[in-house]
Amino acid sequence: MPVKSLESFLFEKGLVGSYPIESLKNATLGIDVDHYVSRLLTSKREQYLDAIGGFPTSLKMYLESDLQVFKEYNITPVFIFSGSAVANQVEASGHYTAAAEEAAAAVNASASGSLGSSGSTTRSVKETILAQRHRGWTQWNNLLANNQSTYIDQPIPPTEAFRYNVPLNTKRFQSDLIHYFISLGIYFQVAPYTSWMQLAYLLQNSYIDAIYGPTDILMLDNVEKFILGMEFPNKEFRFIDKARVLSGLKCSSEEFIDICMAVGNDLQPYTLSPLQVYPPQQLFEMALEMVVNTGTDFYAYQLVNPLNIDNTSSIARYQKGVSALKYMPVLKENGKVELFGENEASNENSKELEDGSISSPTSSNSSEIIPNDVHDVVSQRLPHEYYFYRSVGLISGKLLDAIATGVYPEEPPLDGGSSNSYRNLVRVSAEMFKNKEINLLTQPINRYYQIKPIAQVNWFSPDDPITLTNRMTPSMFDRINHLIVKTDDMDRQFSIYEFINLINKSNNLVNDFVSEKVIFPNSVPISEKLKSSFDILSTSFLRFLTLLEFFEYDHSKKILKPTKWGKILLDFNKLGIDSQFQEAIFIFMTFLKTGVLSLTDETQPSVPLALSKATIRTYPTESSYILILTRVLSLFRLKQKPANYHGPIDKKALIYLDHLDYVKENMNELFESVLISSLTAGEFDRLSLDNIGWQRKIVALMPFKLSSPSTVTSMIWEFYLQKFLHNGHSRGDAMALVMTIFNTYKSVPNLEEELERSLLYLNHFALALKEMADEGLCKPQDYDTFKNALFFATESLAK
Amino acid sequence: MKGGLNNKRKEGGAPSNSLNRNTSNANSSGGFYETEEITKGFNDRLNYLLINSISHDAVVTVTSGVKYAGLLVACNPDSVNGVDVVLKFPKIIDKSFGGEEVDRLSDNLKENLVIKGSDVAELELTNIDFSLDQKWEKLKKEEAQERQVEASRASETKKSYQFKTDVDISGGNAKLKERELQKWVPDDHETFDISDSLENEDASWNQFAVNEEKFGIKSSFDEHLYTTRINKNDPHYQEKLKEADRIAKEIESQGPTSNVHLAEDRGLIVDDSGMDEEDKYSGVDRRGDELLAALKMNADKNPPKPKKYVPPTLRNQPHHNDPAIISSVTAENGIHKSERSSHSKAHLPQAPRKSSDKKTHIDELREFSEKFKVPYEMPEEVKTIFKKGEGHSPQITASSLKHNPSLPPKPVSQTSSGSTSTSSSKNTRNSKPPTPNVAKAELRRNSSRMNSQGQTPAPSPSSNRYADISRRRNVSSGSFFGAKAPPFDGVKKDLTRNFNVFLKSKEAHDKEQKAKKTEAKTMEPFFVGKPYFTAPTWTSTIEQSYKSFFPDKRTAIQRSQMKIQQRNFNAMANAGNTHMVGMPGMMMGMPMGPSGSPTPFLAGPPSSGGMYMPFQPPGFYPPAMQMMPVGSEEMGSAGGSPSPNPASPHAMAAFMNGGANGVPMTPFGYPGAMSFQPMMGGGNYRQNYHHNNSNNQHHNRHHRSHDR
Repeated sequence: MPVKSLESFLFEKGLVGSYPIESLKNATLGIDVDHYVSRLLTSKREQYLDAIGGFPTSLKMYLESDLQVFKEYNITPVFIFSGSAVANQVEASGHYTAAAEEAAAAVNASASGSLGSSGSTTRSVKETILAQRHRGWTQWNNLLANNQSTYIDQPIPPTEAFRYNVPLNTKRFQSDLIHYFISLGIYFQVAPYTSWMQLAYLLQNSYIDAIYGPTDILMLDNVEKFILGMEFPNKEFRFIDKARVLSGLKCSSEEFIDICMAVGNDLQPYTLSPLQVYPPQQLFEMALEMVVNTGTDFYAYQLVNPLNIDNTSSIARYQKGVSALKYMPVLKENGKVELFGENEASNENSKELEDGSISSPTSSNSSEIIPNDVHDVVSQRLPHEYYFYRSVGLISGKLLDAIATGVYPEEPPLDGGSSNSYRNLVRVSAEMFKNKEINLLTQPINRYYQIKPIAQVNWFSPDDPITLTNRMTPSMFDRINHLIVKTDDMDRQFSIYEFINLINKSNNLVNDFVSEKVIFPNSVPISEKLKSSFDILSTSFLRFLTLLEFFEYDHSKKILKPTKWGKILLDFNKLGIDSQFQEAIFIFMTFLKTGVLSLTDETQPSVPLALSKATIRTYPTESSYILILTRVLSLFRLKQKPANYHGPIDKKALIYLDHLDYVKENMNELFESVLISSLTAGEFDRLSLDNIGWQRKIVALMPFKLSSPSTVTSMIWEFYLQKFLHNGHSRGDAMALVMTIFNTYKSVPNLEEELERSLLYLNHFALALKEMADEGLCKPQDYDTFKNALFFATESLAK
Repeated sequence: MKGGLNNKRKEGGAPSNSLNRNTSNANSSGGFYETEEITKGFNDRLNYLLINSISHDAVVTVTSGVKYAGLLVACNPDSVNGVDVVLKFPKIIDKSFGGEEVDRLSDNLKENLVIKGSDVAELELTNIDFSLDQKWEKLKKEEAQERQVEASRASETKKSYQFKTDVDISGGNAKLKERELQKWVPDDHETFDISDSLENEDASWNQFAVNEEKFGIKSSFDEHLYTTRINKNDPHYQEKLKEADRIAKEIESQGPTSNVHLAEDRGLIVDDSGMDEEDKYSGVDRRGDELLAALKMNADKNPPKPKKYVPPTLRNQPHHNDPAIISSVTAENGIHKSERSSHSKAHLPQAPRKSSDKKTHIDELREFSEKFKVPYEMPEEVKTIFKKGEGHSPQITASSLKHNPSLPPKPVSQTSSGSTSTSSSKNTRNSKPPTPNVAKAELRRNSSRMNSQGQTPAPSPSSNRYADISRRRNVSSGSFFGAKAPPFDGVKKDLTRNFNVFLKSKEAHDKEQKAKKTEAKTMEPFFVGKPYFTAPTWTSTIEQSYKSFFPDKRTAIQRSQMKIQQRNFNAMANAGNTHMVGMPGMMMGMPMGPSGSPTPFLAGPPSSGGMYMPFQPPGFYPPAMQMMPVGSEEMGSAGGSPSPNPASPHAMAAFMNGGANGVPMTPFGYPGAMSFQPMMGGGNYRQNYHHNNSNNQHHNRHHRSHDR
């Protein structure tokens, strides 16, 4: 979050300069991803994203065109993601309460009627997001109710946006972006903490020539100017020159920081008194006015005016904000995460010394004094290795934050998360996933973390956190570290399909994959360790499956065999399930394994499907078919062109998708944990890869990384079939309807092909489901219903 | 109505000539100045009404009570008593007062009836059309003088309802004629240099003087036609004048603005290369657009991206990676040393960077000299210079080459540097040797930029202080990177192996081993460091909490109090206060304000909040401040403290800046409290002050390290 209201103020005062993009020719440009994405996805774009889930497809479109311009001018972009939140940010995001208050606020806001915009200054971004989502769904429910009498087969588009004036949270699709960057060979880095600090470090050490970042950079002493915005259509960019701004505003650098801390910025997101009373658009102007005209010192103000109850915290927030600015850890070129100002004591070769003597006196001067409680300001420190894994995108970071802060927050999903099954799923996840993850991650690191209490805080009952166990004997890693897949095949690429092939080829699982001795100690020669990316990923995947009870494994008894679930998974290839669907069906199986919600069960409290009353009344059986189809199709990845989605929405489909998405995320985290535990133990030759190697060979091939698809495919089928029913089974009419309402000529150009492909997916799903029904792993009637539904769908498309 | 008419006549202006009347008004109506405007307004309206009503029906009631109706032919609003009226075809319509006498009167009526102003009791005008546009009005008046007498009533009405074309109005029965076009040939004595332009005229030009001298025309210019009349009788006139002066000074002391036109008006020399006439004098500054849009979009964080018009010259922006320019800059360093040194203080914190800049300059020069080839046949003297220079540093060679105006223009390569493209375009216009020109431009540009950067954060606490922040050009000329533009295919630092904790620690290990090897020690194998060595806390250098770097309540308040003072001094300084001489005295005088306590804020209960200032609306100064001029006067006269040249705004600004930044320098037990002691001698303080003045500038950039 940039300094509140500063940007528009700078534009107003003409303190933003322009240059043609051409003047950046040949440069390396460091880009703050959060800032950049907030530029691309302005509030008018992707307004319904939160109602359909998935990745904002239009983002890719903008990215592509921008990258094209960069290419034209030989500009090398370097994208920097933000990492962990510092203490203030954690607090502001409702981390410790998993946004429970905010959820309550959202309810209150809607209860009190219309917009609660008057209090919007004090509301955090997350509160605003939740409130807006809530309002969106309320409006949508009303809309559905009001149109009951008229709605037959023409779905109604929603009227209220689900996103309003708040930037999208980049974290949600960070992995997608990383995947995208890797595929294009664009360099990126995930900063340990604040992205723009990392950029400042890169600039200082000449890794980049310029920064494209938020207004917060103005608070830094060592960045003279930076780029605030790009106007690609007229090939211009906007930049800010710090010296000019300060002289224009007539305040010193120190006063400027004082103002920033008072109005709220990235490191101190709260607006402090007395500024809350002013409209958010004028915050900076008012604060500056106070400083320039009356010499206000906002820190002194906090001290002198203990009128409000939470004043102590506002002092603390101010102090933390300023301190975070001074003592911010960055990932340094020696691979270690250290405070920005801290001297790189180790390995400074002569060249660096030369540079250092010229360029770094400011930093070394300013930060020679480092207090002993920086961990209160930033967060507790994790090992360099973990920060490194995060920097290449190997671990998404929520678990690392949990270890550092002691809280794993479970925030409400897109639909609001009111269904009992979802809440059950959250509770189940602690035992099924999180305990294992925490243990795997805390075991190799400082002993402090092994006894540090870490709790899962759920938004629906923030006062009743679930304590996660980080200690178990034997440790999770000890239980699985004899499972080793070693092929030494350097060219083989990991995928679930390849993995299944590998396992199925083996005649004796124990002989092939259970090693007598562990390979992690340093005494083991490098040749006996894992070398290829396929080996490390397969080993992790096997261990991961064992932890998920797809395999039964007991080292002492020399047992390694698939369970009923595992057998079905191993049969995927035999059944002919296409490799592109295997991950989705695997996620589905894991979800069904949790047993919180079967394929046909209603969610409690129930939410109406977006089908019309007329459909449900006239065609009850078909409606149930449609329901099950929408659910299964949740995980189908539609080949879409980038477009802003404007069309119908379906809350029921979204709720089911949220369930699956939750499971997928947990699987992702568990897999990451298993992989990291293996890496940190030293089972893999970590020196064999450079950063690009890590990204291409490990990160890009990891499963479960991409965000779940949106509900668009589900809805296409849903409304297609509804029209099909009402229009005398006319395929053409139904197709025409879907064409128009989903604007498919733009977003899904070859709709028929995609429908065929999704039908194939449904067929393959049926194969797996049949196996499960046969093994008694799901209700037999689920399979029967699905079989009929599939038949119905096939028929409708065949005519 | 009558009163109004009379009053107006006293002033004796012709109604149509508002110009004359205006000037006379200013002097004549001294005691009545409040209603003067209103009176004038009414007069104008009456005149307008009367002029419009000519040829319309009018009913005049005379003092005897008889009402005459007729066509209004003329009226004289300038007569001594009221308005004289001439009616055509008069008839009596109301005879209720006159009796038989009226019949007699009506018999006597001729075609025209003249009624003296003093007899007119009431004048009723009906069916007046005010919608007529002024121009038409004028035309009509002119026509009317010639034709109205003959024009019949019927034709008149007919005309007024007909649609008229321009030809009709201009009375043009005359046929349109086309003249034969003739080619313009300059007279023999008139010769123009193609490159001549208005800008090249160096002598000052006074159009009025020339006009008078040549043609004997005296300007009847009256500024009040164009601007608000200033009421010099206002009791607050002097204060307002001072305030205006202060604002004017403030604006003028802003230094060069980015508005080239404005700068030119002010007689400043600015670099206008790369701009065409349109940019300088005619183009609309479009920078406000995005803001307006942003405001409309309810403070949308992302400024909209309007498709903006970019003038042709700016589409191909120049940037200075042309080593030629740099070379001349370095070469002329000596000449402009004075200019630089005046800014060196403000730049001091950046000094390390500067030197690295220089280094890159030199590197680039070296590279340039290697690549540089003179494309045409070299004049002899150049060759000698070249040969001479061979032994010396390439810098000298390059620069001396640059300074020889006889050199043919360097061929322009579009790809290598954009800046040459502009210079070349300018060259063709000026037909002067290109390089020195460019160099000069470059120098000027540099210096002007330095000015704007080195400008001290000068104080301006007036409430409308934003108004003077100069609006910058839409697209700045010059380059974002300055001289150190990234080279094509330049060696970039490796992002793929750096930042990798494994590879880098291996590197470090290898190096260490190498070192050890020379000492003949045994090799140790490299192992990746175990992650459990990292403690959950960050390395610290002192055993103190970050909180201890923040001032405690008392210090913070004192500090902020100092800030208030300084800000207010700034206010006073900017007001152009002649009492500035007493500046140090003021410092002393201030705490002796109403509260009488050296620390007024601490004197009151801290929780009251009212003692602390920030809720004051902008522009409101604490009451203590109002005491300041008084205090300063006393102290100034008593101590006669010789403060350094208070008349110079620059010095003042520097002092202010020093003061403002000086506060945080000594955070703990700030001795500033000392200066509040009313008992303290002024001399002591002055020392303190000088100390600040000399030191603070150096510490501006570093103060953050000390303050908390």
